[in-house]
Amino acid sequence: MFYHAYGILLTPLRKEGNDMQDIFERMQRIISEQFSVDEDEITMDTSFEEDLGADSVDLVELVMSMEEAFDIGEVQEDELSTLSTVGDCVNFLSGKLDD
Amino acid sequence: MKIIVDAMGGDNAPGEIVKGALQAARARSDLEIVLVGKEDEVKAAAAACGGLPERVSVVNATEVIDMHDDPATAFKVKKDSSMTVGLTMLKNGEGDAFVSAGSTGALLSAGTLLVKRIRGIRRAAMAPLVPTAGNGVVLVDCGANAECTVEYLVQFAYLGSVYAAKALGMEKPRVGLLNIGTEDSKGDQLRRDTYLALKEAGEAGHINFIGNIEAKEAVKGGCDVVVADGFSGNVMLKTIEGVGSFMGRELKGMFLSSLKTKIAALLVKSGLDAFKERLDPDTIGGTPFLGLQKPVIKAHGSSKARAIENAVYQAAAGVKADLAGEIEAKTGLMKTER
Repeated sequence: MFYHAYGILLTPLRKEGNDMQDIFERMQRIISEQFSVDEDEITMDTSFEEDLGADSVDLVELVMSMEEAFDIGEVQEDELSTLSTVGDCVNFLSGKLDD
Repeated sequence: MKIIVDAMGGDNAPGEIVKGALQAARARSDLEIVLVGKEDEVKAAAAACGGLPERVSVVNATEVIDMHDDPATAFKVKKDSSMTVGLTMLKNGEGDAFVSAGSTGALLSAGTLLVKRIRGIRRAAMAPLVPTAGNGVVLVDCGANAECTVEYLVQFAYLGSVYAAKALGMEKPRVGLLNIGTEDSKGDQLRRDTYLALKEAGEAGHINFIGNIEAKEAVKGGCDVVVADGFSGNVMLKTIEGVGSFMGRELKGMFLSSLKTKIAALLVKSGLDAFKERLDPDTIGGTPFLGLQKPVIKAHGSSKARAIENAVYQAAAGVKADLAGEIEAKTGLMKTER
């Protein structure tokens, strides 16, 4: 019973971690392709503007790739303005996919 | 090669667009044309021109982006527009180039985000060939980017230079920076910084930079590529168009003013016709968007069949020139401190 309860406690964390990890890895591939950087150089803290030199058009293009890859519908302009880092995108996508 | 044509874009769509596309298909056996638009209307227009030849097909698109649509988002809002469908086909490799006489802003936005920029290129630029005393000058940018950085302008110089050499056959195109004087200290900070960057590129042998150039000297044939931010470039282009139109009207009025001048006009008619042909934008066809992964040609909104036909040929020349590979190879040379 203890192990059963322990498993129940662990399961949502493990499931969320895998989804987040999966989302992060997919974002690494998208970003690597668009910005011509190695996937290994992309972390959750990577800033689009400061680390990748992205401008407004780059961000819109990235978001369109995200919309297509994750099938999340259209990202609104006010949502776009919150996506400064890779981590922001991963968290945003996780929230969208959970809806 | 396969050219995708937006059959619904422009003031004279679909009739004149279809007519021009069919003229191109009949004249060039190496071309396949795909007409994208409202199928019934496109087929009716084709029927009025003798029907669809073998190498011409129609793809249905139920919506049309018009001048009232927000250019930045129109291609997303109207997913089944002739422009969105056509550019998506181009992106997916179902064609080699795209021609449209529709909304310029929508085409730029959709081209940038669907077809995408060549890797390393910051902004696509519109680069018309403006008639001059020489063989014409490629004006980069003529209105797509009103505000520019040094990096954008440097990239425009390379884009224009590669285009002039590979697509237009110009030998070592002379690249000038549009400015209010020729001295290297002339202009605002953007111009001065760009001058230094282009001078460095020229000294390294990457482009044939001839320095600052005034608009009047560019029109007199002083360079082959003139680099400008979109605002200045658009002012230059519209001024040339306006002066050309004004001069044409005045000349015509002068020649029709008396019997003597009418006789004179008849004597020089062939020369006048040749001159008029040289200045006629329909002779060229359209304006390419440089910096996109595949050729996209914007034909003037009022284009009729002859302009569309020439725009199709222009698209074909863009495909043959295969600019994207050469431009991508040079993007490392274009880096500046932004």
